Amino acid sequence: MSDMFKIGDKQLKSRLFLGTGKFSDKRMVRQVIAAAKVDVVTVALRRVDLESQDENILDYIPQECTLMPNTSGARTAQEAIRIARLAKATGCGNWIKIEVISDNQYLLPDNLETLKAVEVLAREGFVVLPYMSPDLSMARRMAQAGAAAVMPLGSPIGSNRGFKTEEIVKIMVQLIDVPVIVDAGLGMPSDAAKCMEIGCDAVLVNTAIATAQDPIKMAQAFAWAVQAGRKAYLAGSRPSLDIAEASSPLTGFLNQG
Amino acid sequence: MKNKNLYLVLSSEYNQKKNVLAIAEQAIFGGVDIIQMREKHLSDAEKIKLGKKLYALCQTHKVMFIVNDDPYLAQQLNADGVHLGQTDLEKYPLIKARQIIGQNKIIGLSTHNIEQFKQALNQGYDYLAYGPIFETKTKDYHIGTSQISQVLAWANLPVVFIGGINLRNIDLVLEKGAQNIALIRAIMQAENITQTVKEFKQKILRGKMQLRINGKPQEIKDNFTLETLISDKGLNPSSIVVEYNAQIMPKQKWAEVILKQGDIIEIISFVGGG
Repeated sequence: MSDMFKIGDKQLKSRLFLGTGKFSDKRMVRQVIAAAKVDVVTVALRRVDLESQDENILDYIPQECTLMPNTSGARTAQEAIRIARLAKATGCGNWIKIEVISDNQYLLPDNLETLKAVEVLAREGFVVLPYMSPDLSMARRMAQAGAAAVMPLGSPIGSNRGFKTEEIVKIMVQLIDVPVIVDAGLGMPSDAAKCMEIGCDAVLVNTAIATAQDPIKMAQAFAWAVQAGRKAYLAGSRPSLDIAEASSPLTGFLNQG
Repeated sequence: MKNKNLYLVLSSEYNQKKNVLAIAEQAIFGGVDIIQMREKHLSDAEKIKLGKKLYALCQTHKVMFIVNDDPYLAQQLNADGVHLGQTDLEKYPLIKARQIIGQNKIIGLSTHNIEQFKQALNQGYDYLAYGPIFETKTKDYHIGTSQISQVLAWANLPVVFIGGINLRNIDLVLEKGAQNIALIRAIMQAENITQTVKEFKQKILRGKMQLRINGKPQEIKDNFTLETLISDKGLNPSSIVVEYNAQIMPKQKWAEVILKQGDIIEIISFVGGG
């Protein structure tokens, strides 16, 4: 049974998106992608260090992967737009994760600037995925402005604190027409599973995998959790009760009669 | 007239011991680009005699030959051009000088302050001289290097900086973006003229352009294109994006972009990120 989903014009199989930051060894990125069968990979754009030539991260990302450059470092819509255009000019596709952050401590996104960037870039033909603070009306506006998906945060970037925004994201999943992808803060596979169980379309994980003692194992664990959560969502669960409801028949006990 | 010139003002009064013609020849061997004959104390006949020899020497070595003050003499010698001082303008306003010397010849003008410089722009001169930058024995004032950048920002023609420039202070002029340097004493009175000219010439050529690459000031050689810059830096073109003066520059156009003073370049590539 195939459970593909579509973002922009791409059919995707894996609902685990991978961020490529913080890996102690870049070569590991390739192994993690293979182990977790990842389709979508995020990268960032930075000035080339002219003194010490670093290897290119793209050397470790298979061609079949969809590249989703982010606009990290942008503090305004204008800066995000500039970065997005540069990313497109590399010839590596037209996906862009919009990330506009003006808060240095919690790295929480600026939804308003993000929306402005979505408006401009969607018009320019980008497949735009805004990273955002969970908010229903903002998510609606993003979708109306042409966002291909919305990416509410689970908890602050890199914090491994887990899925703390569940209540709002649940509402977004219910009412937003574009895919909802939880991005940032997921610390353990169970967090990812939870996101999928409530109907999110995908999750984006970076820190929890990259900084694990064994990133490859952790990536696999996340991949399984995402699949398990997704399957559970598709299976449909009965709402929880406050009191018990016996699972075994309540008649025919040995001590009866 | 292009940029990057070492311009020698040849004047026998600054060196009584050596023959001017010999000095000119040694300077040409060192790599001088332009020679101006400035002889204020010779008779007309003497000027013509010297001028003919200098013309022949410059012709042989493809060095530009300019005559000071007198468009008629320049015309008579078939020099490449004439250099006018502010005091010559009354006698030879630009239009008249142009009539005498001809349309295809070069006319330069000395300017000594911002007002004179601005006034001379867009008049039809081929280059302007600006100075004295440093103290000289012939002038009782000097401008200093602080106006060089401003002058260059206004300039839409080559500017030759002059006045007290020597091997010790030339860097101060070049680092402000100056591309053409005129010298008198520093060459006329040098022990080894050819060697001295070589050293100046190296500095002027190396005097390079100041650019900002990825936020840092960088000097590059003349005639660099974006393409040569990228290969000089050992960068793999397929993995980078280049923004040139805030405009994304597609790879196909790199070879056409000739870098110039003050350009701002961003070279960007993908790194790991979430």
